[in-house]
Amino acid sequence: MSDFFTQAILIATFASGIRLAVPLLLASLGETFGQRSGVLNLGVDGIMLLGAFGGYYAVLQTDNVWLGLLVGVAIGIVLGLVSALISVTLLAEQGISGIGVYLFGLGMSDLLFQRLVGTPRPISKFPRLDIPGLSEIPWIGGMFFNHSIIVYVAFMLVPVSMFVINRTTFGMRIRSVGENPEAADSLGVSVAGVRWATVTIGGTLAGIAGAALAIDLGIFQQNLTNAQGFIAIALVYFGAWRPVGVMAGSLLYGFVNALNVQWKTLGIIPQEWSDIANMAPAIITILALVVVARRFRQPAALTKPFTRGT
Amino acid sequence: MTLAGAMGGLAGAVLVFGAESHRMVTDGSTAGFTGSAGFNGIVAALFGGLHPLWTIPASFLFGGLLVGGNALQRAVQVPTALILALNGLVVIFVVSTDRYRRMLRERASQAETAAKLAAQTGDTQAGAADPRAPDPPGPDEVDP
Repeated sequence: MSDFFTQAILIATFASGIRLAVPLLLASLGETFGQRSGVLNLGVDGIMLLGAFGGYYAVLQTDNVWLGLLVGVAIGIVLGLVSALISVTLLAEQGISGIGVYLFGLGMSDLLFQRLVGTPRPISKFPRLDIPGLSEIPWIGGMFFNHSIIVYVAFMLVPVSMFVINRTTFGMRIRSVGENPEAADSLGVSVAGVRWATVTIGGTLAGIAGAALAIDLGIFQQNLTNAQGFIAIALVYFGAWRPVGVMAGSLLYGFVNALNVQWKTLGIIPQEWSDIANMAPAIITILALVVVARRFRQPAALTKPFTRGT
Repeated sequence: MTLAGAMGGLAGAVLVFGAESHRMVTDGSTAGFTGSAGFNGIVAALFGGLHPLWTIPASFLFGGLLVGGNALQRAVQVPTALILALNGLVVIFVVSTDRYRRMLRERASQAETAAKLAAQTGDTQAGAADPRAPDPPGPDEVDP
């Protein structure tokens, strides 16, 4: 136990917690947009998996991580549009259609991986970007300011999403469509249009999250995300549909994960307990969800497809 | 929900004792022992139109698909993952045409009642030229 409290290990654990939180943060921020407008997109994990494979394959072919990220974005946009078509225009049952997208992504990413790549080959990862000056600060610098660019971008997106949701006309439309689509519709807001936009934003961020995960790990395998997309959806509830809460949830999950890995390496958690310890992040997230999320109300029109005049 | 949990646990136990190899094998793949049988169960239930009896043939269909997928992999080296992707597409198509099919059915039953009404009041007008006479109900889509 005493090993754990050395400076280097504490900093490393903290930093890896932040790093592990990034894919969850991206995916759940995207999901926040969708849910605030009343669309529950359960297909996040499938979109993440396909984005992860796309990003991985692009980097494997071109050795350019930014191109990989761009492919992740493109896949995310396409699948976001498909999800929007299914749940907004075709008015599908949202709880089930997302599982279809998930199964499709799970199978398709594995299929493409086996056909196009076969054996896992490592790819180059994101370059590290030390913020000049700030990364020199003892403790703080090592924890916050020597990550890859995608980490900074993900955390920058939190205030951006807050601003968009709370302070812009578009954000007001999102909230009104999520709370009372009939009223929004009667005031001339295109319910379908807003929902198409938010679901596409959600898909795009999920695609980025997947690509970021694959490029961060430098590897792809079957079911790479390990259901992180579903955790991301839980985190939206945990964060009470607010970007800051979602960030707190992602960080909690990331830190518990990082602690788990670190303690196992140090032998604080014995070998035979490691499978049980692997469940800790999920259990803690569920407990926190039960304790925290009950105090907040979900968007009134969540999971309800909207048709005029019903 | 409790019942569903109990059935899910039972399914897992059956999988260990009967179907596979009398032991719990995690084959290293992160999908785990069940090979996402749980999600496939959702697919089967949906495909059976959420009716207990219809889920039996639906389960057989998907069981067949999975076993066939294994054979396919051995025979022509198509990865089994294809089946999973296909299942996903099945769910997407079934769910997203759900409302459309319900609409068709409603329209058909409306047409039926309209025809009945026309037949009842038909003795005065001979049911000849009702401008709102509905089209004959088209071949309604067969429910799975």
